[in-house]
Amino acid sequence: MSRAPEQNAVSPGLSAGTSPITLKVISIFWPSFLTAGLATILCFSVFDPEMMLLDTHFANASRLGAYTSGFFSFWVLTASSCALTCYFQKPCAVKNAKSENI
Amino acid sequence: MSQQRNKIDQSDPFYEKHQKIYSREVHGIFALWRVTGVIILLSVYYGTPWLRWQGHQAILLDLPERKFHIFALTFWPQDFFYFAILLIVAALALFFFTTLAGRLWCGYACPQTVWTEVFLVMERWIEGNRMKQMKLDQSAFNIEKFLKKFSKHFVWIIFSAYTGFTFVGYFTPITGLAEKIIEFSLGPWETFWIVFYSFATYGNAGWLREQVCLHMCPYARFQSAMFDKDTLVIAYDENRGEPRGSRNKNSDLQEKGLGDCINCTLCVQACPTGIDIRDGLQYQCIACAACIDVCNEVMGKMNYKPGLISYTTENASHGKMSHFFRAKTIIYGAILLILLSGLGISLFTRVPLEMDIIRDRNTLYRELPDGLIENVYILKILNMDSVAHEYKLTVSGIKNLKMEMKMKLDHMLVPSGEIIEMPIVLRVSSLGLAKRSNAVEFKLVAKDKPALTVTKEARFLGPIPNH
Repeated sequence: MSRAPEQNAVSPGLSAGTSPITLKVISIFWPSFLTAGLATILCFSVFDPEMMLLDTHFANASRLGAYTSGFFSFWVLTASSCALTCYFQKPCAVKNAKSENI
Repeated sequence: MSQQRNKIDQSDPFYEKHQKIYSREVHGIFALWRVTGVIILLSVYYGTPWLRWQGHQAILLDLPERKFHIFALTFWPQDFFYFAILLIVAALALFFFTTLAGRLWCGYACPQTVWTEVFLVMERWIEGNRMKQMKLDQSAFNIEKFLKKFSKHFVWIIFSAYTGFTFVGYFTPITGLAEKIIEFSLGPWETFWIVFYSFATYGNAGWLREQVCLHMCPYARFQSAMFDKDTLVIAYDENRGEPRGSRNKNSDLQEKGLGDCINCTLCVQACPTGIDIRDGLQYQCIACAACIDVCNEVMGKMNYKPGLISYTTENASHGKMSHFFRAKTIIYGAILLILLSGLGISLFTRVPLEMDIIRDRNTLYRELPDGLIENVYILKILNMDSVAHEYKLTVSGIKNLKMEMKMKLDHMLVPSGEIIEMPIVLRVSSLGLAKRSNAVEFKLVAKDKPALTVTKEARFLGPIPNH
């Protein structure tokens, strides 16, 4: 028994793979979820949303509401960055092949 | 959609369509440990928000109020430091135990494992064992199939909803939350988070299962970096097992030239991530030890020695000694011990009182007609204790320094969890000032509890002395 070979050959039919679409969805929405959570914790431990929103249109928003919208705003941002990474990962050859077909 | 799938499958032969893993129910010592763990951890999770402490919820991470109550202690955003240290401690503890015993966390304590285990129990309870589940999924749609599937998802959703409710109960008072649900008067944000967390539980434990470990878990990716030759891993004893093959119970192994593995594939059927442990250590292995349990059972039936698959270390499997104390464990252990004791000491000596002295920025100082110099400050007192206190403020650093403020100096009553803010004025004769900028020290003491003392240094400014 030696150090783990990272990608061991799995017995065919026994182990389940995951479709590339699922993998893409996971890699866009999951890491961004984690970092958005972290950003939310850091942001709102430093700034009290009640103070931040005092002079704005949202002065009457509850803290829980502000945390929630904050979290989702962060998530949209981090997810778009993940999505761009995924988008730019597509090799140039694939793009070329597509335009040749047209 | 299926056309799209086919296209993908053709272009990328590494991927196959995701197949559901039907893991076999396992009985044995490690299954018993895991079930015990699941029961304890779930009781802690579902029970904790209902604990009371001196009239309030014992553990309440009150986000709307920006205060974390943990038994007698109350933490404020100012105490973020403790949270950061706690996270570092948690990470180091994970490293320490991984080095020592591999993926203990994954196999026994990870919420993904714990909730999946419960969801599997419910699935077995409604759909039957592994074979029955496979048959049901392959069968054509009929009333029985509909009823079974419907009741399974119904039970899962109810359980998830209670899980989501409990989760939100950590952040807003749970008794109030329960009352609001009964009265149908739940606020939009609480409703949203209950639904969101329930959905996450249902999706992760009901549908995604092992895919969370394979594709979503960062720890699974880097845990092998902590491994060394003395780390406890689950391994198949190749020397003993191979060549594998089926045989009768009483056949002579030597004569047939077979090893101890009867190739029953029960270890593969029991594996929740669908791998074959006989292929060696793999990153998909969450070290749940289901294969050990099931293999030992088979070995018992065959009258063979148990432990064909076992918890072992690389050194042990090569007949060498395993070491408990080694550079990695000692270093991780030492840092962990230092941080933990540091955290303990700082929590024990924590003074739940904060004072801020902010200089008035508009005027540096004022010269009064009678030769006095005046400086103005804003004083902020934050009482983080669970009871009200009366404080006494004194100032020192310059001779004959006089202090004035609106409130009586020795009657500053601050209720629990409140902040008071007021201007204070310091005056001193210009003759007493030796320098342009002089240090003054403010000292705030709780009258009923002298241990609650904070001191802050500030500057007292004046004209350039002409002597």
